[in-house]
Amino acid sequence: MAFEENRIIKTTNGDPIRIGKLIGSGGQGDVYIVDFKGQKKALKWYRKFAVDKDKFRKNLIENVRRGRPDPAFLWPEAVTEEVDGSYGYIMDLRPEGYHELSQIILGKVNFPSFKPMVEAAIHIVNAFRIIHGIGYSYQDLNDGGFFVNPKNGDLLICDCDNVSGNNTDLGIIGKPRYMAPEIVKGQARPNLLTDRFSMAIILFLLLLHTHPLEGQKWIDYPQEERFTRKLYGEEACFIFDPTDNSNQATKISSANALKYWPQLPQYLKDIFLKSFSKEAISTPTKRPADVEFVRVLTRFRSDIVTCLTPKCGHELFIRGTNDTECPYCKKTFDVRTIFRLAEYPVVAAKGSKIFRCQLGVCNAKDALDPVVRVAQKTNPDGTVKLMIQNISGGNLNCVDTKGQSRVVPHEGLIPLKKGIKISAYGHDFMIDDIG
Amino acid sequence: MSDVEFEPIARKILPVIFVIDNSGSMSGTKMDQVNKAMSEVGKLMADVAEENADAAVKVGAMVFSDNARWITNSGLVDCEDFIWDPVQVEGGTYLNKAIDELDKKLSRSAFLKSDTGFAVPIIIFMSDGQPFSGWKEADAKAKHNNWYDMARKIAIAIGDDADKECLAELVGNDELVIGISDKDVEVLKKLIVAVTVSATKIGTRTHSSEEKDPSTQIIKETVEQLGNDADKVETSVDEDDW
Repeated sequence: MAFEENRIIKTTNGDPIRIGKLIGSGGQGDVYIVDFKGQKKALKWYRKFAVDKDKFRKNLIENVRRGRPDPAFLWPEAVTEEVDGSYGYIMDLRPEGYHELSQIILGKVNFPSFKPMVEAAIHIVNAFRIIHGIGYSYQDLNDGGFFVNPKNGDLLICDCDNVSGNNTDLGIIGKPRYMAPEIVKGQARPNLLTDRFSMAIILFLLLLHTHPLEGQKWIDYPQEERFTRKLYGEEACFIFDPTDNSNQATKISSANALKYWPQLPQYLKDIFLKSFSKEAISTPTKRPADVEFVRVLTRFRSDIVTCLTPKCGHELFIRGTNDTECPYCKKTFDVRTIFRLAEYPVVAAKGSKIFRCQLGVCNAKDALDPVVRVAQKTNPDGTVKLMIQNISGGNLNCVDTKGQSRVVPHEGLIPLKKGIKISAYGHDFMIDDIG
Repeated sequence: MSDVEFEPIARKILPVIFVIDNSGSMSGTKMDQVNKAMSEVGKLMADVAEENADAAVKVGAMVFSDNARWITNSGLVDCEDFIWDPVQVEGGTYLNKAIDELDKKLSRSAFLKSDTGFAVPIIIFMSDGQPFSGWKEADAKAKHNNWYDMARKIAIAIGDDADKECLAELVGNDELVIGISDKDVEVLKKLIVAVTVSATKIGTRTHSSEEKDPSTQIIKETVEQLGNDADKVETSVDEDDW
């Protein structure tokens, strides 16, 4: 059924919802703008149910009761009464500037640079780390479930109606090309570990605009059930699998990955190699935990710098502290100063940031709290100088090069000078020179 | 300066092929409705296909009467490039000639040329009459062609005289045939549009554990799209499933 504008329906609590314009139609139902409690909201109205209608409704009501786990989720806020045998739920409207991930993958919308792209990847992983951490699984990760703002990498996750307790079987199995191999083979239903595999596919697609399982075999096989079951299930094989080249990346299937994979730092390659290894494909418990991805992607974000060669200015990925060649001007990127963290060094270049999860173990919700950034300060004589700025929201304890303790308030500056030690959240890190 | 310079992601091509009866019996409202619908489907398909990150939809179309004639005679075309000039009616219902043409062109040396390869083609047959003998033999021969054999076939049986049994045999079973009676033929255009949109969306949505085969799914979604006119079409889909 389709609603006429201005019709009033009610939530399960009896709150009125005034129907506005129809703004979208999908496979399952329609989306309307509505007035609800004095605000413009979105109403998703189901036209049909591919799964058990009552079980699905019960799950939705439970999700409303539990509340939104993270601001990134366009979470169900209220469920409606039944009208003509169906129902819907209220959620926030998608703000301006956000685009479906599928539009980004199709190249219809582009990121202005790599940093917001990596920000978006970090937001995806962190959001799933949070829902997995409270015992939920999303069940249906695919390119239609995310809205991304390409300017800054901000993320919204929609279709949260499937989110349910881990191992709850709502009857959803996911979208072809995004399902974990054990689901494709009919051996499992969606759960936290299948979410992890689907999330790794989404991240690879986002960062490399290439599907990680679509190589030579994808070209050889027609897109038909028997063959898709092999490609994404029985014979699933990473396009960069070092032990099996039967489905290797090709110029036709994987042009973007062939271009950018060699430029990626090894630690980022490693987490994808682990996610899509034979072992992780066949044994879901071997898949990297969400936090591993948060840490790797946060490190990667720190390693995206701008080439300093005059007239070049391209973004490049630091692969080592003294051996990264700019793929555009071919000059070696001159790294002079680094943050020496407990696990790895981070280049201290303009725009570099250190996040809390890079310092050591922390809670999921705190993982992306910024600690410091490298800012460019302009002196009175017009010259510029790189400085470290405290962006932690509180004081930072530092020890200067003479061994004296100093307290630097939020937004305060610290010289970018070898030997300074900074303490934050119980972890120390040093400023150091290369060489 | 932006360094994010990706090539468009590689996609399989999903052929959606219309095979339309333009024999003499299609004269009047039936052919008018077909002509109106087909002149709109290119734009509609382009709008739907634009959202499809899983496959690139391309269109083929053929009419058949005494002979079979490709409208897209140089191969499959992008949805936005599909142009339909109104077709006149003529001659008899030589379905066998249409099947022979499908057999010829569904080949890597003819219409199915692409570096990325193809998704299983969708073939939408539309006919209002009783085909002349010979179609079964043509069908049996064409089934040696894997692309024809694997294709997801659905049929629209137009009017009271359409040979639904023949169409059911052609497309695989009677659940894949949508019938429309003479008295409701003014809904034909809407039906063709709904079938086309459903076919173009195939593979783009979430599956449930009770998933039907994709062809049956197209029929189900078509009927849903018809909304208030759904009761004017006849299907054999199991209603208990809905």
